[in-house]
Amino acid sequence: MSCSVRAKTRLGMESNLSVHEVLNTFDTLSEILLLLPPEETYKLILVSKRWLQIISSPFFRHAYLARWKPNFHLIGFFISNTSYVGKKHVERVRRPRSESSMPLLSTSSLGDEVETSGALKKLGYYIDSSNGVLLCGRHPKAYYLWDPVTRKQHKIPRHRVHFEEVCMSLITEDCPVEGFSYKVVRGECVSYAAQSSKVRVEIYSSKTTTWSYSELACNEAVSLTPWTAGRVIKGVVYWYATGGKVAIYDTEDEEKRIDVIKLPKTFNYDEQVLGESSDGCLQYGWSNKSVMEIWELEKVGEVLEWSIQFKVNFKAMWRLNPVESARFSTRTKETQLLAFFNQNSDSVFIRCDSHICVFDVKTQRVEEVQYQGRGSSFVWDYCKVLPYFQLSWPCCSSSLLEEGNI
Amino acid sequence: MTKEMFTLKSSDGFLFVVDEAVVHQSVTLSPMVQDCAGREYPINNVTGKILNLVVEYCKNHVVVDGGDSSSSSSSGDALKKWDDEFITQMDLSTVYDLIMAANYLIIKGLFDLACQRVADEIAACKDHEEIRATLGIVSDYTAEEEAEVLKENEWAFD
Repeated sequence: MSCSVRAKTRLGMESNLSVHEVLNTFDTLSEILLLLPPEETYKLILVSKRWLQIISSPFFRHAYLARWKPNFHLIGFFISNTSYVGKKHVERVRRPRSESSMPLLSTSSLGDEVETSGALKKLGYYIDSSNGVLLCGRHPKAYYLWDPVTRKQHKIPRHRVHFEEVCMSLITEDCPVEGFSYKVVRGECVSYAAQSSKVRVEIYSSKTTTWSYSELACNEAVSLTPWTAGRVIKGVVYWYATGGKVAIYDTEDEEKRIDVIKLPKTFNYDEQVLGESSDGCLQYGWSNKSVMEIWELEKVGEVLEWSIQFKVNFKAMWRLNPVESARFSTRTKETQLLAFFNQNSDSVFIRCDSHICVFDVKTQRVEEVQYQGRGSSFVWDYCKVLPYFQLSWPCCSSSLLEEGNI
Repeated sequence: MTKEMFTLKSSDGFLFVVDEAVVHQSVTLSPMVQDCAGREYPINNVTGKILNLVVEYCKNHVVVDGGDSSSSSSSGDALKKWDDEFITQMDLSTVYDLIMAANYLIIKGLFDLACQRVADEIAACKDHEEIRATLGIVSDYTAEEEAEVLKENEWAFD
């Protein structure tokens, strides 16, 4: 009934599409729609415009996603060539003009549209994404946010404190009335030799439209690893730190602290990735030529502990998937862990040569993901491949929103 | 100790005599416990037919005083069974009226139960046209608008 108490001011008999008052009143209709599982959502929006308007409203979405797990839709994979970004000026490799700064391997019609329209062309390099909102830019001059729903870009006001090397993350928050608000977090990365128990950060908030600077205190000396993709889970930022560690910064914590925890012991890994599990914990995965391991950071009492989720031997995996194995020439090409899904522990992305696949943990089956852009010429080994997900939620164009009075 | 009895009057003039435990289940009616003992309390937007069902629900949901919150699972199951039978035997039109009544009287359990019944009806429909037919809704979409919605969200319909 929480919906009806808050929404009392929105009461109204809008267009009488039904003889039953229940279905014409925002309150009661919303309460009923909140009870339906996510697989029904797209059926519901076709019933009437009233239903579409209710469901696509930030207010309803916020209440719904508090109750049901969100679904995500894969738009494509962004390629981040680490030789082009950051690094001291001297070491940096120049990107050839013909190559896009933020190439997208599209797996969807939205992705196709983005690539053909060149919407992201002038926006620099991929930095992070959250709930479909994209953070990109050119360090240190300009940073942009791009929204796939409105297809609009927004330049973030210039930050105030200069960090030579940074790691950056994007936090989005779903608010009942305004919809999404966001924060951009910049963390200063110093060299291992200069590591310190004080870490400087600056956060931009869309609510205040200002940057605010803080010095975070840590129990031990730490140096963050620059230009790496971290992970944000419910307002907590996880960044790689040198020495095989991960730094944890809770942006909501008044106490301005950053904690450090060692990653599970790994020997000669080639790839490492961070993600979020189905139950909201940090997932960490690594792979080398022969195996991949997935770990989860769980809270046991007051302490955070790593617990291994599964270990896969690639040879054994390919033996269970002979058709794909033959197609991808897995005997001669290396397999590696690529990325996690959003808020999901059931599957991971893996790569063999230029083939990207989904590996299902339970069934051990491998399924290829078709993408556009196979022809692009980049060297996979020097790149980070980052899946770009959009929050799966009905869109309602503004023309349909004009009628009715939500 | 004699129980306090209260008289509820429906919009069409039917009278229902209930005890305090029933009245307390309605957040709207609870305050009347202080004032109205012995007098008739009018409930202007609920008919006798529906008020009868509301009272029946509340009588069955009277919480035994002094009972612990973790009531025995068997009595919990029996109550759930009663709720299921209670709500399933009604036609949708009655369920809607019950939702409006439970909303007005603020009886959470009954409101949730009735809403879930409607939700279950919707979930059982195979597509949006069946939903419209079952719930008695007229679509306000033009053909173009419906096509636009499909197009904007096309990947979801694959």
